[in-house]
Amino acid sequence: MSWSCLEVRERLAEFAVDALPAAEAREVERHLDWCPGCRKEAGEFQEGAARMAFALQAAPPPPALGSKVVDRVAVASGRHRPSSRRAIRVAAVAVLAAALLAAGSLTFALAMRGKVATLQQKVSQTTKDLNRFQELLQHLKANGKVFEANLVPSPGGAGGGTAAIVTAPNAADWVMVQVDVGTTSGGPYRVLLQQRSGVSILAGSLVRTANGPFVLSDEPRYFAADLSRLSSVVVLDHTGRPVLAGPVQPYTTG
Amino acid sequence: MAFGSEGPLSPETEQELMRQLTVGDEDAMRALYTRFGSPVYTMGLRLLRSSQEAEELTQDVFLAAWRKASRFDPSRGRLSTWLMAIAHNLAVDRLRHDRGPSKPPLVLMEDLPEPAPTDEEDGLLDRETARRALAGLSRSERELLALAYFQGWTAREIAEAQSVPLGTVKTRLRSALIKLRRTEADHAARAGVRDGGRP
Repeated sequence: MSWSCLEVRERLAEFAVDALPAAEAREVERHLDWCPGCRKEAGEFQEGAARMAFALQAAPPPPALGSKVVDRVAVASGRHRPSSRRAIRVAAVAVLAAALLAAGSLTFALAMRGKVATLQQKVSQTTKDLNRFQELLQHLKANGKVFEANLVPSPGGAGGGTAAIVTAPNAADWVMVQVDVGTTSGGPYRVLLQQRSGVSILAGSLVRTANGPFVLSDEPRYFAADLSRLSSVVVLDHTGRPVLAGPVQPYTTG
Repeated sequence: MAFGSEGPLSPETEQELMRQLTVGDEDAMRALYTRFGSPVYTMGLRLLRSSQEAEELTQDVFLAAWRKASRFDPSRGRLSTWLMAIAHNLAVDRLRHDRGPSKPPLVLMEDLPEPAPTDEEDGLLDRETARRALAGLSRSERELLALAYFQGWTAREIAEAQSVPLGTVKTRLRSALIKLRRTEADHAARAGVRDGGRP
């Protein structure tokens, strides 16, 4: 049952300074959505609260922050037109993601017996990709962050895989996933990115590639959200049951 | 329409700025950032105590402003208030998440370190008005607001820490905010009469 105006108004001061418990704040927001009288009063308290912020001695933001803000909104609105320099950078990140996935896929390729020749080819290609990426990275002095998650099966399950997460200050964050789910049934599979805050982001569905493993459809998948605070990556089957999962950690070349 | 980087915007100009934002006008976003990037970043620094977190917060705030732009209603308050409410809400979310269940030590507003001064004079009038409004509060009211606004404490946490009834904290908070708002409104009215323009 929703709150009355009286119940809401006695909480508006706390609401204005975000001093209400989350559940009560949500209840107040719901009320304000339809009640113009309480909305007006809430606005007055917020005017008072904003004075606290404006009383602070201003600190100069970093010079590049404005461009990052504009770029991030442009990406989120789907109007992102990378400059040529950024296009090169994005290309570099694409190579990185591919290389990471190739390197990660070695982990579960090792578990696949009787495929030595394939594995050797994979090692060779991976080494080339990584070298190419390192050259590009040095060239561009990229300051993005790279994370990986080695995905292992749930108890009783099979398969494995890797997720590569790339966060770049001047570009959209993105994710690539490559997994072997150990079975041909149970799909469609979905990938969930779990943030440290407890909020989860649905990265998308997996599709099977011609040579076997599953990857995200429309890979790499871009995100307006900041992906630098992920805690884990989880692959769910069609019932929502986790079949693969792994913690997100900074990528290390070692 | 040019939005400029200084001086108050009329309600019509604020509405036009947000309208342009909703249709994805990058110049509108630049104008919004030029005006409010510094106060939002400053708030991030004060609450989160990390330049990196303040940068991330600033990006999140302007992204949220873009997403919510169509909900901005100038008849309900100024753009600066609306934007700072978004900023504070996101900052407190981060603060509480990073802090977890433990409480920070009691810190008085006077003891909080000032961020480095800037050469920019934009917003100076806003700051002077705000400081004048804060000066009209008692020490205990300023401390209470500092705990809630800059430390992210809930009213219940403040009541427990200060061993006072929750109802008393709520009443004092309400009274302090009303005083802040009233001082601000009085000042704006005087400026409006003097300048013959909109407060």
